[in-house]
Amino acid sequence: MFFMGKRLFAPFYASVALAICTFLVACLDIPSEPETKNQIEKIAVFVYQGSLKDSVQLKINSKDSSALVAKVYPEEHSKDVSYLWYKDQKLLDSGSTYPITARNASNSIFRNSSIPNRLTVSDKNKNSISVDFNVIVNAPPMLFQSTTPSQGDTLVGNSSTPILFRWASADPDKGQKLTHILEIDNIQYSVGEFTEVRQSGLKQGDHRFRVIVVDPYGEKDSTSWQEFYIARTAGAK
Amino acid sequence: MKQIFTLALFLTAIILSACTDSDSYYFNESDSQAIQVDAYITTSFDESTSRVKCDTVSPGDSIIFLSVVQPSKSARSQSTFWTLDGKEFAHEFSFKSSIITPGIHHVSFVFVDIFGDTLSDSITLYVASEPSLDSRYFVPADETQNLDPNEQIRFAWNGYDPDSLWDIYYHFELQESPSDQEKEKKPIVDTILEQPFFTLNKKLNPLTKYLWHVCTFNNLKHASKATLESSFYTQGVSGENAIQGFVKSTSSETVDKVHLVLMDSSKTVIRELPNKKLDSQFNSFYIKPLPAGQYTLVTFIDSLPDFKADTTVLHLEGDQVYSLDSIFLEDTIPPVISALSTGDTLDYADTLQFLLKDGGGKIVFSRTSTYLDDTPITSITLSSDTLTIPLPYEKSWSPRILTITTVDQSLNYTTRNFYLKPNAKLFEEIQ
Repeated sequence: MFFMGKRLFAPFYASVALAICTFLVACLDIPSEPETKNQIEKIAVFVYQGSLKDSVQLKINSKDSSALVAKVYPEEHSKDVSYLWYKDQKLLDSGSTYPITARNASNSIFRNSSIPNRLTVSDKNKNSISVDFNVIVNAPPMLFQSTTPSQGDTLVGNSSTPILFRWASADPDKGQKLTHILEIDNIQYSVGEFTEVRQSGLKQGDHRFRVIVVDPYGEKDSTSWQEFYIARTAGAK
Repeated sequence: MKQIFTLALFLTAIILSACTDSDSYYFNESDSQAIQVDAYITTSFDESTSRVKCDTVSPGDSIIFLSVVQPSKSARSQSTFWTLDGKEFAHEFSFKSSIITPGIHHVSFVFVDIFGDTLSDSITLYVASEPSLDSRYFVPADETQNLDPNEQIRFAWNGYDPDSLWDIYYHFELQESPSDQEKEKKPIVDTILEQPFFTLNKKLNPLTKYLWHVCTFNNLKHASKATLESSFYTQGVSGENAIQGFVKSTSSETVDKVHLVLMDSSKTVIRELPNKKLDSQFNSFYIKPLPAGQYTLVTFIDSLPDFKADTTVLHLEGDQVYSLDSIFLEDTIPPVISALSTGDTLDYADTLQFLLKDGGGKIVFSRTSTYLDDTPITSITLSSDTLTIPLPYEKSWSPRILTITTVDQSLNYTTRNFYLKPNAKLFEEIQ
């Protein structure tokens, strides 16, 4: 009877032994635990330009020099790590700060090759963390100070006369649509892409106007206030 | 011994098996009850109100979230609740609420039945504010004169999406102001724009008034509350002018025709337009072309002599449309009430007739009333200018006073009393 029982349980013992062996073999494939855990929780890239710090839009004015600054969190590890700045796969530089000269930013060829879009931060134990980003290089729009009417002009008309307002704007970034605001006597008229309009409603007397230009990134420029005088004429009301 | 134990075990299993009604554990489709849930939004609990699964509302709009459970809401459930963008926000079957955050929201009604199975239905809700349009400040300003009809005209205005979520579009229309003979003009431009400005390259007519109109809507077809309505005038060529006169009067009836006499500075009549029709939209007329100079314009209505003529002196500079909105025709003369016979003492009769005359328009029945002493007479009739008053057959030997009041189109009114003498002959006829 005992003999028969032993024969019955033999396949069971064999299966258990096989399972243990499989488990042990599987354990051999498990990578060994790193010597120490990655202590860097997060990294971020900031743009520093003059007194401005920006980590959201990462927008720089191409007319001035600027710098990309890497921040490591918790900050106490910032000195114990290495920083590598890449443009796509190409390593550009190392260090927690990446300077961008105005020359590199304003020249489209340099801009494409010399402004990084990836930061990799590694600690001594080769633990690394990367962040991809996109730096917006934008030159602010410009308004020429020469306008129609110009400072001190006297125009003849009445409140129904269409007064021609003309100005000129430019943007070093080609292809950007500029929008303009014509401000006459503190009333703002949104005039879109126009650089001249005719507006009426100005009574006899002193008036002033200025133009504000805005690019798609919200950068602005404006003319100085131009004062002019309307001398009344008879006729249509 | 072992065989006996095995046999006993076998028999026990058979007995236990026999004791159970195993058939009742099988799924029987006919015993089941299919549950279906639907979620809707509506504006009223009234069943006749339409129920939808997708809608666009403004932030804060009151919305009714309605669930329908079939065959009945009394179907046994573990729980029922609503989710808004994945988060629970109500547990009623149906309720009224509002959403204030603009955006696309997914609302679901979830029904967990007694077996733990989850049934749900979803609603998509677009919460969007109406686009904003500045109808006060735009270019060119309303009533701008002297725009060159042969040059580009630039229109610009300000519109935006308060939510900064949706695309906004502008419906821009430009048309010539309807002339005297027309009720409406076909638009010259009727277009949808993505930008709040438009350049007109088409040549326009000189000395003409044009109307332009903008309304804004977003990609959910939510239109702005405000619309921009404006006008401008084109300038004349080689010193020509025009007068656009707007006629106002004291009359509550629309004046559709006027007599115009235009004189130059030496008071010589240079243009006489006896039946100048006014356009129905603005009650206005055009006189063009006219050379620069000083003019006197006299406006009156031939058929309505009660209206005092309007005389305006104006000076035209050149290449302009003079917008003359001060023409005002005033009627201060009240209507005249008279009996068919002379005098204001009449014999009492079963019917009396009177004449109601006014030089400022037709006398209307609704503005005419009559009283016999202090009792109103309602059965009067007014045919053309003849007022017919039936009087009651009342035997009285004292004189009666008949009072007639009428008001003309300019709200001038006349009240006249007539003395009715007892009429013995009439009373004899009655007897």
